[in-house]
Amino acid sequence: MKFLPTGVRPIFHPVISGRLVGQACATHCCSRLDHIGVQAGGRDLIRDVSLHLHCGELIAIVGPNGGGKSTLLRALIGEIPYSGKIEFLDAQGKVYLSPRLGYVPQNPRFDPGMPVTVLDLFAATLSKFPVWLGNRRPLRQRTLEVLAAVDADFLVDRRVGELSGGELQRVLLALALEPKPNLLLLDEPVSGVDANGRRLFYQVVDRVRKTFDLAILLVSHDFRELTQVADRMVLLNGSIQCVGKPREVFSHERFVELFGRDFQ
Amino acid sequence: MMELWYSLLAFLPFEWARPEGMLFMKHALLAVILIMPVLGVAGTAVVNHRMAFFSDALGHGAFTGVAIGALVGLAHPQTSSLIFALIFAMLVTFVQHRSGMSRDTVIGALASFCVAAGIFLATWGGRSISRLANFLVGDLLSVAPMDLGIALAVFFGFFLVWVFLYNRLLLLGVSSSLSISRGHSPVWIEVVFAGLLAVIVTFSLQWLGLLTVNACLVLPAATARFFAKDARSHVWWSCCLALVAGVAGVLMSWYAGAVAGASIVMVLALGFFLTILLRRR
Repeated sequence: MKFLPTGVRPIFHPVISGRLVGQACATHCCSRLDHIGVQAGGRDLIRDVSLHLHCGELIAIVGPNGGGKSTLLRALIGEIPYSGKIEFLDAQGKVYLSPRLGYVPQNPRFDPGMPVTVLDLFAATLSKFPVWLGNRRPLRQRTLEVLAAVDADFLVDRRVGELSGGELQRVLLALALEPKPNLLLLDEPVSGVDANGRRLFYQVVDRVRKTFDLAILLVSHDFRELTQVADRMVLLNGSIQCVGKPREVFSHERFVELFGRDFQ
Repeated sequence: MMELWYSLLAFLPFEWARPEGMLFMKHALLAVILIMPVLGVAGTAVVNHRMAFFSDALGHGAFTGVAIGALVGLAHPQTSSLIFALIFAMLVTFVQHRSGMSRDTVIGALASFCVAAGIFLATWGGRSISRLANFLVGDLLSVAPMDLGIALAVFFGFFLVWVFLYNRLLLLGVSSSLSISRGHSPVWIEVVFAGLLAVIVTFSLQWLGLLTVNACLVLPAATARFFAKDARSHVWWSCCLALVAGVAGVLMSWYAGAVAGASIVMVLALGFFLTILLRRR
């Protein structure tokens, strides 16, 4: 475990779930969303979203459909224009210019008959060497190691179109973890996945968070699973309605208005 | 250079391959050897990205260019057809991204406009459209050594771009959001690929024909899917199938006395349907 050099005072060291988070983050420490807003067709999709994410912390974004959860993530990866500021700060409070983002999309819609294997997908992402000229052996080894971190190394030679929903999302999670990101964004990663696949996925996410000490922003509707893994929960419906520990959010009046009292 | 090709062919046991004469057949064979692998390889991305309708419509854009070229009296209407195919490719890509409409709708609207404009211009002033018939069915037996030089340039130019473009295209084929999160620009990847397709489709059009060129792009890649176990083998299978079908089609056209472009597509289509029938489920 790397500690900060003597004399360097970390600016964000919140205590989360009884753990002192941030002690290990000598490089990246905080992602700060400052009054983020997205407009489309003259209408605010999201407005005034301000959040701090610390490394080692998992924040779950919940909310009704059309509440702007995926929009926020798409703004973060630069897919859609936004107003406001997104800053990535290191342990000494300096602003990063190019932080690494890992992103797991929601149900990617590709042609399932496409003859592209998991190894091809990794080779195309991690190397500039064209896949059609051959997958090099070191790349296969590296891919196997990353896949093993999400219990998916046995999928390396399978076509992506043949994977089950849960398997595909674990592969995409492994892809998002290589190279190691500063901030991991998961956009409804297990929507449409069966209960067993969802449970396995969240176990892996929890392990990844603890192993790699990175900040994770997770959009999801799986309220019960989120209570196990999320440090904080944000209710987003156009703007932030409430923030807190999952149990606190579940009993908040805005949450109850939208989803009822079943989750308290 | 051409002499070397002629002397190599002289080893083959065909009457047209004898050292004396039948140069048009020898040129046609070299032409398909250069252009079919390009179409076969590019076709893998066309099929994976579900762009068969787009590549078909590219020919329509090129047709407008041919009609305009003929109208203003250009000696080589290929130049104006290339420009129009490029404009068509860029328009489809940008209009789709700007309007958020589905690609099918944008292509449908633009392609029908292009064909209508092409026919309107070609028949303007009561002229006959029959002189454009060559572009509809293609003419592989009128290939000149100069054309083969350009084909060689297209061959190397294509593979050079393909080396740099392929990985990005593959990732984009899985998810555009994933591609963006890796710092790529889907719009530009699509623009470059559409431009590349415009160049190879327009160039092949004169030989393989507007009506049949798209099949040479789609069928090898579609058939190759049945044999390929990964992305690399898909590209190589498609390349080889296109090459074999190209050569077989030219030979078939010689013995059947039929148009070469259509003969190649017949071989490709036969291979495709046979593969579907015979493959193990």
